[in-house]
Amino acid sequence: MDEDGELVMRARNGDTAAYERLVERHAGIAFRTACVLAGSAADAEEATQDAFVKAHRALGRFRPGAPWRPWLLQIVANEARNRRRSAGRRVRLELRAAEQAVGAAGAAGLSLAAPSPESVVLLAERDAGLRRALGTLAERDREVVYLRYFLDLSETEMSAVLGCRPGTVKSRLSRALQRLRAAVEERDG
Amino acid sequence: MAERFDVLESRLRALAAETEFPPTPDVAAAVRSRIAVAPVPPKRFRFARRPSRRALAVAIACVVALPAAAIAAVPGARHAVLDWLGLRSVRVRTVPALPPAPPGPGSRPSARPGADLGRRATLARARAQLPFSVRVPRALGSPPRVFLASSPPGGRVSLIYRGPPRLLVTEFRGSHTRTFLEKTAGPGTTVERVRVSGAPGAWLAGRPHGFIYADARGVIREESTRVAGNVLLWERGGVVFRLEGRVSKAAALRIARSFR
Repeated sequence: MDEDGELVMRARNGDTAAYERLVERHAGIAFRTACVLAGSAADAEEATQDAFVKAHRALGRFRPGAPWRPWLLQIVANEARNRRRSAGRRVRLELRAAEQAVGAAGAAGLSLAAPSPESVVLLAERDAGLRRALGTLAERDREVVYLRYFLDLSETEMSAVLGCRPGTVKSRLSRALQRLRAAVEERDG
Repeated sequence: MAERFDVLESRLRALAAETEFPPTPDVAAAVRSRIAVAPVPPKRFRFARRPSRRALAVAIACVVALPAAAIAAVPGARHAVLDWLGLRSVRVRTVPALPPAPPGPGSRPSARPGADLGRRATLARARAQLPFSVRVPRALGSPPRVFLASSPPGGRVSLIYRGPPRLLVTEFRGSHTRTFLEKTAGPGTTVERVRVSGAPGAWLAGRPHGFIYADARGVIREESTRVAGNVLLWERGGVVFRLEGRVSKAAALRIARSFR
């Protein structure tokens, strides 16, 4: 049994420390998933917290031996969506795409391995174009792209988060990429 | 075309590498304190497979989320949501300071006493009109004054006992709608989990508590504490009961247990 599986079994038997360890191991991916779906960091934080508490309550219904992360992320996704829906908002997650990172790379232009300032600027523009194109996508397309490329979720995890069959994940992703490519081309001319 | 996708994919991965998500907050501490008081429930039943989407949706719909407007009404968005209380349609939040009452029916001085309680009615009429069964505390007998209100959806009945102690009892249907009730507890208010004849409840004592709820249309309503005192909240059969007054916890629980 993997470490998660072992921790889950211990937590089911009332070992709070084991559950804490699970929280620590998965807080990051849970929070980022919630960010993508809820649209704001504050909502994502609440969703993450509530999801862990609910998952703890539901441990008795977790099928032993099944992977824990997709199961958890499904609860996180529901929490995050509930928040966004209940508020009737469509806040877009402003990923602090790294003006700082680019700035830092530019500032480090003196170091040997660093790209030239010109290429930093070009790359930044290219990224900005892609980010803007992402921003024009419909919510469901953007979500699937973020989950795959920004969060690196597996197909099983994506299907849990998106609430669709694993087989559907691939086709959804490929349709989203098609639309993204069209949006990029429109911008790039 | 596959090649174009590869290019796009690698650009996406490069963008992802340069993108920072907001830093992950420390949820472990909050989760720890919340699960410390809510042990893993006994394994009464187990799904053969993983829980169906519907089961999850139902479970989650039972805990009603908080509209943005209510968050905005509470200064300092960082507060603990005490839903370990086990109440499905009531949330108790602790906040560093109570929010100023937003403009609305609750904060305006009432044109007549009890205006925000609804219209005057009789117990018989309330029972005939409301879709849930109205209960009254045997310990106090039949209420001298009864008010009926149409919000939240499903209606609300308020019973006033002149006392002493003066008591206000409110009942409304809590679950299966988007309605929620939020109790905001500032510093100096203690929140304690209680059981009322087996039903989950909360006892709030100390300084006055704010009281905010939203109806199904998302209208935020604020009620200032109408009868200064402590509050006992509990939920049974999908109905939320709220008892408020200058009473001790033991007395409030005794009264609550006598509801029939």
